[in-house]
Amino acid sequence: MTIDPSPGDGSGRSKILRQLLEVVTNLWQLIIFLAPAAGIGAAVLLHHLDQISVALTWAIAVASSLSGLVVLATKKDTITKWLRKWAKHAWAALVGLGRSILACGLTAAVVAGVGWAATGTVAAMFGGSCSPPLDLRVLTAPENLTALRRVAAEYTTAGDTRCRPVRITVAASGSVLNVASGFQNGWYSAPGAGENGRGALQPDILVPASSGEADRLLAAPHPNVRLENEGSIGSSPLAVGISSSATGDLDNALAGRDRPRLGELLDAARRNGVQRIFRASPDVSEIGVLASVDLYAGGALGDPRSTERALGNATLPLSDSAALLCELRHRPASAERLAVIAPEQVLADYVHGRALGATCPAPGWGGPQLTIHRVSDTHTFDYPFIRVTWDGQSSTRRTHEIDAFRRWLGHGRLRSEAFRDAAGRPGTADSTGGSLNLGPAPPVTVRPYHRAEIDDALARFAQVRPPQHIALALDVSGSMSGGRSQGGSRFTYAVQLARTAAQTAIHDTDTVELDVFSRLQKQPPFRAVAPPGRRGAIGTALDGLTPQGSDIPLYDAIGDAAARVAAYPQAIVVVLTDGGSEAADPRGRATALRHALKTRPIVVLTGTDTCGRSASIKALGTAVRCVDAGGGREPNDVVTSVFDLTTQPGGG
Amino acid sequence: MLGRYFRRYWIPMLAGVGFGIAAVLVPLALGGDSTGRTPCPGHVGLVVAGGTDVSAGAERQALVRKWNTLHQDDPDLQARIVEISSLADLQRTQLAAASEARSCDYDVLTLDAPWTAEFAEKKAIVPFPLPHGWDPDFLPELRQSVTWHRTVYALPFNADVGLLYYWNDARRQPPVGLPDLLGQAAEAANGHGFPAGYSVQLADYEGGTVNALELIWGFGGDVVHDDQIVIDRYATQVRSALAAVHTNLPPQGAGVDRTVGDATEASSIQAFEGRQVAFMRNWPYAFRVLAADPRMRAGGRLRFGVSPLPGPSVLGGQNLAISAHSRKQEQARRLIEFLTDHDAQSELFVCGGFAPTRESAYQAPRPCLGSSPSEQSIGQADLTQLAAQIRQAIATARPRPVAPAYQEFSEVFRRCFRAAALQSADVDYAAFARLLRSAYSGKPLRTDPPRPCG
Repeated sequence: MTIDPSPGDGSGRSKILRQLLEVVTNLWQLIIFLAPAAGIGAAVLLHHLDQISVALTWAIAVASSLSGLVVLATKKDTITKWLRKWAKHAWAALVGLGRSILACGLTAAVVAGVGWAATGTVAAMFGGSCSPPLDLRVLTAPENLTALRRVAAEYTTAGDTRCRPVRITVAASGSVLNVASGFQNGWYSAPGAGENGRGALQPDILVPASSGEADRLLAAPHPNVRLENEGSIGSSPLAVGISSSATGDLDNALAGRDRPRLGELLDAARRNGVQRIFRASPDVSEIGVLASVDLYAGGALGDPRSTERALGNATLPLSDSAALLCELRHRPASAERLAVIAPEQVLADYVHGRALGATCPAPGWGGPQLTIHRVSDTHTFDYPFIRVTWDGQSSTRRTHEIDAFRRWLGHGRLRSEAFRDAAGRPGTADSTGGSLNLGPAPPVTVRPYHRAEIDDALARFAQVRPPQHIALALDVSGSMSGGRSQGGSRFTYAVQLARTAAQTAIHDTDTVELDVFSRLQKQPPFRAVAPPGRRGAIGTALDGLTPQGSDIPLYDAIGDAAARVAAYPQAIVVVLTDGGSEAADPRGRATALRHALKTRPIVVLTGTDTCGRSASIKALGTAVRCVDAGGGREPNDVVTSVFDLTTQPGGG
Repeated sequence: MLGRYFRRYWIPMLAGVGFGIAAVLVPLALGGDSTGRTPCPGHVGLVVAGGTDVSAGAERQALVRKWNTLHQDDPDLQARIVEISSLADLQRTQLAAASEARSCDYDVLTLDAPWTAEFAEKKAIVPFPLPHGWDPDFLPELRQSVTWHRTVYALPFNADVGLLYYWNDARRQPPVGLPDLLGQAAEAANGHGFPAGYSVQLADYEGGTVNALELIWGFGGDVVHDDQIVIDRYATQVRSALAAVHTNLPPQGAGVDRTVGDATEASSIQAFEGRQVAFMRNWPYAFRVLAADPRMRAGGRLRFGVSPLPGPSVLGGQNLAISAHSRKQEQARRLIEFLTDHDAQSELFVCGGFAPTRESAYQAPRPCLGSSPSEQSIGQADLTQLAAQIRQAIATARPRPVAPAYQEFSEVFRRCFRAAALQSADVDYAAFARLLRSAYSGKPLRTDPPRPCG
């Protein structure tokens, strides 16, 4: 290729040099000309730099946009062509990507579907078997069993999910001490180690009757377990159920006052033929302790000693209000007037024939008719929801299910079970399908029991009974290894009773003497004494005892035990036996024993013999008090009967 | 066409295979929930978790003490029993909750026969190592209760089977079938001075399910067959069973004890001891309880007899399994083998009243050596007779339905049966079968309390 230089322009190089020289000359002239203006401009610039820079930016932007538009206008076809080409390419890429994703997704779905079908997941989702639900364990006082079992059953079947996610078991918690000691030892108890209620069911949720009780639990040390109070799930005031036959007389005595004070109500009741007032024993019952707060504080029945003298009676089980009312339901209706101090909700269960505790199923009718009386000066049970987390047993799923149940319970779900909501308002819906709304009952102001009040009531209760010298005589003869209809042996049950007594009804101020009796050659002497404050030593002493040897006559055992404590002015003799052996006609020996006794021993029969059938017991008449421990009675029931304050010499 | 697609999209499809496999395997590996667990604190020795030892002499405890003495130099082998509750439902709840949380608190689980499937399905227990195969000395009838999906998960600890107890002066002749027994019971109540004839247990607990199944079977009916709910096919027979209970209750009759709706094994024993009933259905342990009572003897001879039920009984019992979360599985295996060997089974039978799980323990049982002089001992002849009756009853007994959701099934079945038998509730058998099918697959339908049969 050759270049043909243009004629007249000279060479191309000289032309460029000429043009460059012209430009430099022009620029130099421009600088010379503009220098003063530039100096002035610089001064202005420095003074108004911000505004100028903003203005300059705008000017550049506008100029750029205008020039861009000009360029676009001139290059419209090129740009349109390029854009079309780019869009076509992008669409092709997008379609390719979509197809790849679709291929990946479909393949994954097919593989997962085959896998799920093979492992049963699909069947579970669309009509086949469900995996077993999670088990939640709820522990509460026997008085709350009916309500909590019903709402738990409702909850587990209420969900929208096809498979039931959770199964809730509600169990009775035994005594207050039982719960407290349970948390301290990991909830395990050695077989036959005392109270029957605990076993080893470690709760996920605990529902005590009051936030004061919850505070006491939370304040105690608990290795390997965490407790959290998640607020009240309902409420129920302390109320009094009084024989309906007394209602008219009471209305007259109270001049139609709807909400008298507790003292006024009980006083009016006693003046109108109510001779016996029942309340669960504070030795074992949380409700018993809490009711004592109101009874002692208001002096409704006088000072604590007079109160305890007026309350309780070995003729009904005092381990809890539900057991008490259950037993009452089995009694024939009589003209006798009586009163029961208990939470309003459990009294309502009794009145409406609903289930009571673990042993009285619904529908249940019978017993004296009671009318519920509300009073103005008592506290309210506020039923806190306590979440329990055990080391080694927590999981996200468990936490989630507890959360869900707590949310569902809310603060008023229990209103359909004769409770009130957390603000004291009763349920107003219709009572259908076994539910029970209190309807027109007036609202109450919720006044929870406080920890200090509970501590005070317990201290005053402990002072009511003077320190006792307690002789426990345990039959260890071979017949005690005989069976009980509930399973286990008579001996195991007798040991369980002794342990339960040491944990509950025997106070720290008492001295306990444990003796055993049977006829055995080469029997090493056994006697254990637990001084005041050391009642736990009885449990240790019971370890390792086994039944051996033949029976000794029952009267000898009673006489020996009574003689050992004859020197003590405040003594209780408890003989735990299956009845042992006695002469065919025991009347002569019975007369001799009656004359020898300085105190009134309590004989507890743990075998198949009963107080009513035993000829040797009947021959002693009122010289001894006999307690039947057969028939599946809970150890707490038996112990509260044995140590009932109203039957103790020098007590209460 | 497809080949072209495979060639073109083989990389995304390969990735899809990976994602699909992960979608199946990851949830399985995690077991549904692997987060939020706290570490298991662990413990010294072996822990056997189960129910209350109902034997009079606490023979299971005695056996564990014997094991501990044999291994007193090895703290890892020192075993203890944790008694969870006397109520089966609470036992199951605690064991299931602890297993779900992968708690290592328990090494050996004592499982009621129908629970084994559920615990195996949940992988709460591990297959039981049987290097020498299934020991043929174990009763063949018990194998099903320890097996799930053809794998043995436990060894049988004790068998259980319903027996008929009768006062000798009440029984005319061995009853032929359940209707005949109820006839004799009614006769005893009318003519032999017994307040009621027959005590069965229909309280609202697992025992109620057992008795209800036996009543239906006794009238030729069935509830579950080959893993299918069939109660609607046997509506006539079930109706007969319900009518038999209802018409024998006061005020129509006295053939059945009026407390049947609240009756448990313990209350039945008390009623029988007190001659409140002439006949009683109960487990083998009741024999030892009754035989120990001097009132049940005359001239040294027992005043009552025992025989198999005049119809199929439920085959119950308890199995011992190794917890999947135990850190001492080998030691647990050794303990289970000890507790189920011939000597242990013989001792548990003659001293504790537990029905043995080994054939050899039924041969010539010898009286308990540990009986005290004053205890009413059970002689050789009585023991031999009892062993023969139990073995005979086991041979015709039937297991409860084997299903992971047995608990749900049991609750729903019992609720309706009780309502129909005790309160004459109407039963729509098709609806009842639907309820049972739903419960059997683990998804019980909600029913109104007044209409438990749907």
